[in-house]
Amino acid sequence: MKNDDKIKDKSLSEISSEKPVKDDDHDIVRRVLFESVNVYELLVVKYQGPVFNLFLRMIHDRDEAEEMTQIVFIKAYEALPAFSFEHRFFSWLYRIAVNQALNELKKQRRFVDIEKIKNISEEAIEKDADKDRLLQNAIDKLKDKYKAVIVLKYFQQLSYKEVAFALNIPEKKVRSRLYDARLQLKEILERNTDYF
Amino acid sequence: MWFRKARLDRLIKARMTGEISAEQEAKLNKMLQDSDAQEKEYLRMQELKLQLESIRPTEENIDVSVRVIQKISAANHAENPKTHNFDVFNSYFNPLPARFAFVMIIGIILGAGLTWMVTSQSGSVNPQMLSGSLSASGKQGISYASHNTSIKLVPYQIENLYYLNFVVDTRNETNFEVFFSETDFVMKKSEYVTSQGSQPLSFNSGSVVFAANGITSFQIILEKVTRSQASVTVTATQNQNNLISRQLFFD
Repeated sequence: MKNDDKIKDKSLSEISSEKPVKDDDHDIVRRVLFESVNVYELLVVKYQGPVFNLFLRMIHDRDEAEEMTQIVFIKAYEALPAFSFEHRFFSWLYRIAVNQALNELKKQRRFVDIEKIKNISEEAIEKDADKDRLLQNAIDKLKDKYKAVIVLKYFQQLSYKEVAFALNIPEKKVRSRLYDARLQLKEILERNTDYF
Repeated sequence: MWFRKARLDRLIKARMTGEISAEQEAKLNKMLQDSDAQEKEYLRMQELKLQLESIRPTEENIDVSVRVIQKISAANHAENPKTHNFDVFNSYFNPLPARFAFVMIIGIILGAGLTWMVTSQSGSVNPQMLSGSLSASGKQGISYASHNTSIKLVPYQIENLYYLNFVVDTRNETNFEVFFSETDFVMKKSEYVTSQGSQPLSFNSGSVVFAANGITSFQIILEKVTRSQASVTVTATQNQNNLISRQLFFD
């Protein structure tokens, strides 16, 4: 298993922060910094889809996800003078997006109706739902940090290195957290559904 | 019993995160062979992992690019990020009247230079400089998005000059043709601003043909020489399939 992951990650090994990486986006970033803000549109057009889908998956609200996507690109633009060319622009943007998503989830949780929480914990066993939907529902019940790692790894299909960079944690921790997330998923599915 | 379960969990985790030693591997296999319940636990974890790995990435499209650029432009007053630091300026151009005079002089020089470039017939207009100083305020344009291609045309107008800025991101080669009447427009410039690899480009009387592959930015500058309404027709094709065919009207 580990070897497979290593092979998958090999092409992205240059993401390591010790040495500069070759990234086509770097030229565009330089042009944004030294020529014109309009060139930034190239980066927005290129990455708005993945960023939007990350938010959609994390917060399940299309309008909110669209708003968050705009905020992330504006934040990234403001932080661009501090961008380190040792990283891929995409990974760096994802890190901003993940932080934004986690902050948003935290903010939303403060306003969640107590009744809603109660309903989730007492949810009836879902017997008729198909496996994909049961899995999606179970993912939504995970803690934010587990949900984030599942979304990045499986829905956004990032490598372990990219997930580690986005979450600002070591790669080893990503593997461990993913396992813990799957274990929790299993327990949720066993407890509330007839998934297995 | 709980101790045995905790040890099994630890061993399964070690295997699934790829950090299991040969000794632990043997121990895990033995535990799984000895207990049907524990083997079931392990198989469930495997099934879940496979199910997650079979998820296809979500690919819903949106287009926030124009709004993002507009918001940034509005916030920056169309300034470049590199001009944020005014420390040197502040320290050398105090008091206020000196600063005001400096800004006026620079403004007059820049204004004269831009006027000369725009009105000059020598074709030496610097499109990047002009477009960089504008905000995204196209009155009409083209926005197209599919799962592998996004096309955006944002027109700008400065007096009788029309800037057609194409921003394309595509995985398949996309061919563009732009037609206009030579009695309505004179082409001042037509060039790739950004392109991946060398791309073909051709001009004929009243048309420009260019191709995009990967991320491509292309700019055409047309001078309108008629007072009446005139139009430009833009077509985009991919493998001879028509993606866009749109006529844009300019007053």
